[in-house]
Amino acid sequence: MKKAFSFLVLLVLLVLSAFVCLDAFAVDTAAIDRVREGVDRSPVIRARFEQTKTIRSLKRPLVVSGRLVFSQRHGVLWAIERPYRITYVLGEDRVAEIDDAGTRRERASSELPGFSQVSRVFRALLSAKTQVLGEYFDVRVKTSAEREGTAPWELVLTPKQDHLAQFMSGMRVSGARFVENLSIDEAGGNRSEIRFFDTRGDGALSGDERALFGDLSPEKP
Amino acid sequence: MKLLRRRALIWLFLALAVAAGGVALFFKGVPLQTDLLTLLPPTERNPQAERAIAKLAEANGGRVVFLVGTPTSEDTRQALRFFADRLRANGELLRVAVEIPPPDLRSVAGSYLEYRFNFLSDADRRGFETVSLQERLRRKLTAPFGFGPTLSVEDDPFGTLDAWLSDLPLMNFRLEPEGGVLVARAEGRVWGLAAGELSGRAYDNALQRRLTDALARAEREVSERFPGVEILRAGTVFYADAARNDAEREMDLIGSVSTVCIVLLLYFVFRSFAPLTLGLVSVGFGVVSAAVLSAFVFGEIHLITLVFGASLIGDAIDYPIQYFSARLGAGDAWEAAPGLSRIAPGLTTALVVGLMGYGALIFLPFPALAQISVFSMTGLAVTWLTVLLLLPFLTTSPDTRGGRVVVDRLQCVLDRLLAVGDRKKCLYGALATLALALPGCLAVRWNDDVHLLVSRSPVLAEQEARIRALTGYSGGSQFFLVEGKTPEEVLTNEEKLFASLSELRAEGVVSAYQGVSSFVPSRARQTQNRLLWKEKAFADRENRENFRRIVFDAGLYESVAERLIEAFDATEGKFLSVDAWLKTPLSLANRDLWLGETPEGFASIVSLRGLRDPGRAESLAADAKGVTFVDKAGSVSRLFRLYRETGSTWLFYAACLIGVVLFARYGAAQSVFLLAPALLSMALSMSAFGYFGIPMTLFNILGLMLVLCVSVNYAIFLREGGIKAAATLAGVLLSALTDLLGFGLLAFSSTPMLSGFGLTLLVGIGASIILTSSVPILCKDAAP
Repeated sequence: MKKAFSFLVLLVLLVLSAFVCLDAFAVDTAAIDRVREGVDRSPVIRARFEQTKTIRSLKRPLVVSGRLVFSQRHGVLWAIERPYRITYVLGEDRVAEIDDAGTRRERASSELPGFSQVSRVFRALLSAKTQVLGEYFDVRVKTSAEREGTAPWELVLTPKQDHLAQFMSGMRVSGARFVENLSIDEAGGNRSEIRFFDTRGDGALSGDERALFGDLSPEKP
Repeated sequence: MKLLRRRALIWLFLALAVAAGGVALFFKGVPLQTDLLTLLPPTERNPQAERAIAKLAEANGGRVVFLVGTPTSEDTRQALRFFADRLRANGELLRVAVEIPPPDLRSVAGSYLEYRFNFLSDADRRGFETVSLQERLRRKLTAPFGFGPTLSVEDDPFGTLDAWLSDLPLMNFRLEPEGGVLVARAEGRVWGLAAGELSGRAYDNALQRRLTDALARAEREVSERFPGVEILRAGTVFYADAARNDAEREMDLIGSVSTVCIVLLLYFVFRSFAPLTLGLVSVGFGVVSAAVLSAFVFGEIHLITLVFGASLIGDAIDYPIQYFSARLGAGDAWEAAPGLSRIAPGLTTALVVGLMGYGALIFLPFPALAQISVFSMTGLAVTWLTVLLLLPFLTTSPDTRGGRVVVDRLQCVLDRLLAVGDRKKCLYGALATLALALPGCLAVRWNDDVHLLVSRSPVLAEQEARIRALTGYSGGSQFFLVEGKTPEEVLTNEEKLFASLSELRAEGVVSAYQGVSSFVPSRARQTQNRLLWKEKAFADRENRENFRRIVFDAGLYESVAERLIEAFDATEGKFLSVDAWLKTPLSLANRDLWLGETPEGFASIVSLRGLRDPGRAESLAADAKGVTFVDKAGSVSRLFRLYRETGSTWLFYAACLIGVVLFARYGAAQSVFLLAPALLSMALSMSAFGYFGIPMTLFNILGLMLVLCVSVNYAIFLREGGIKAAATLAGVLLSALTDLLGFGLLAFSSTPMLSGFGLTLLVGIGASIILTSSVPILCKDAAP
């Protein structure tokens, strides 16, 4: 039960983190080095996303789109704009949901089972502790030579541990300077494809964004 | 001579009886009790509360927890498994569990899924009407991730069961499964958990020893293979082991230091080994008899008794000392029978006073104190008997080698004292002493905290605190006991309690709580939740059509709605019961909370974490039906307070009683003279605590009681000795010094209860040596 949540957050974090530090996936060092050289390392990254969810009980795939702000220091803003407006804030120690009317539902991440493990993976990714990812996934790097498509690199992650494998069969991340595509295969047959576009790096969050994270202190450079 | 021989024969029979008893016990084996909790009397008016405490204590007592920490996850897992293997290799001491099966989501959610319409989180229950089903469905579908556990869309399209599951108080445990073991990350390390269960009782000494050895070996082997590994441990058994080691070390130290000092002192005065040997034979026989009788009466000997017993030597040696002092004083004129009859009344009065002092302990409802009481009374009485029966037979000849110098010197002191001192000066002295003591006595603070009973090894306490912080594991002695005639009544009572508790949590009075009703709502609540669903979606045909349309409009297959409707109808009138929950793996960590059937009905426990104000919890329980707030530590502290207060009263009565005994023998005026130094010594002893700001406890009251007995002893000996008896003064000084050595050394014990006791005696006896020297002056005229 715990792991269902951990796993999903893990995926999101994992992928978002890949924006910045591909050196985390230092399994195939030479290949990673080639990938890493091209990856943007801005403190804040903004992007638009389009997520296509293929869920067994849904007749048609559901398309959700919106924008994303990823700050190394603050966490993740996942703002859905279509089909409904709803914003999720994934902070260092709090998670919040803000609906269309602006109502904020907040919970301490310590109250959420599995969160500490996930945030650890998150931190590990940010500080490039390569050992950590290897504990959860078998990481394989595919360069353009091995596969079709245009992205210069692709990572294939297969869960190593039984309790992760209960929820996902695998995940693929690909991109160039930024992550461009992420696909997740859930164990139950559901599938989620996320496309990122209009991605830009930046030095700091805007005031509005900081307010959403609940941080009122001025951003340090 | 014939008389003396007959008496010695009586003693011999007694000695043989004790020896036979001792041998019998030796072969049977006397268990040495080290469990300090057995010192605690029952405190709860509610018998079920005592049973709950006992059950929890038993469950906790056998449990041990280890955390093995290395910098990396891989090393931690290997070190943890290796550690567990090494422990298992040491036989059947511990059942160690390290591996955990991967959690099976389906089976965990299964029982809840079956009755999914019976469960709503608190927020959903209150706001069920305000959020439409469309809105709930939309959130579930678009969320990038769930705020808590997430079931599939077809199982829980509206996310209500997700919300219920994420509200379950499971997260008290901060560990995460990883690679087949549970780990926590903190302090720059990865900590792996090994949980163990003892094969025997935590207070079994042999088990403790073997476990300590096995652990030390295992830890050594692990650190050899994984340098820098850190292993933390928590469990009652380790505290018990540390407490036993401490007490044994102290017993050895206090016992041997006081024995050596007493031997040196005696040799200095008597210049011969005969009084020394015979003195030790008398006391030794007294202590052995005391141990044998205590073992027969109680079936076991408590460690505290033995520690206390080591100091009994100091008190019991007074009798042989008085005897040998009289012999020394008589010089060449010594004849055993008349000599003995001269000192016998004094010895007997002293014994009676001593018996009364120790006997008082029996009336306090602490099992260990009753044992100390029996032990001490036996020890004193047997030593007294030995002095009366055996010593005269063995020491018929006069003491020719004794230290006349000491006696002569003391006679000079005594003569000066008598020449200079008069009643008026004594009165002034007494008033000055009183003036000195009074401000201190008034400044005394009291402390009834139960933790004074237990000295916890700081190393272990620190490790346990870290384990608590790392794992979120808690084993508090504060909880609510919830009772009812039926399981349903227990659950409804719990739910009412939870409503009040959630307010306390909002105020920050308590940080977390959990009970069975967090997992299994009462039937009433399950019915109520179903009713909310029914009104919204399943009540009639129109209702159900609307429900189907909502599901259809969201793009889900029709079958999803049909299956939900089926599931709702199938569970009409069905509920998740406590029994069913107990069989699910979800209940594994929380089964202790359900106490089940009791003679009065059914009962459960609501455990608390981070309670800041027990008073609020108490008043909350007072207002709630079937709820008792249990705070074992608090109850015992209250009991300490009660007995401290009764003890103070008893002290007053004991002084009066001793006054009566003295009055009967010495008359009104002299009984005041004999009693006053004792009372002033007690006052001085108490004032020392006031001046130094050390809080006093029940055990200081017990110490004061002994100061009373011992001081009165000295006064009696001096009164009986008369103005010419420098030998008596020598005896009293010897006694006082031996008492100081015997009891005073307890002041350095690490058990707070014994050290408080020792400090009281150290000051009290010190004062009484000086104050009782007024007795020869005051009783000048009456002396024989």
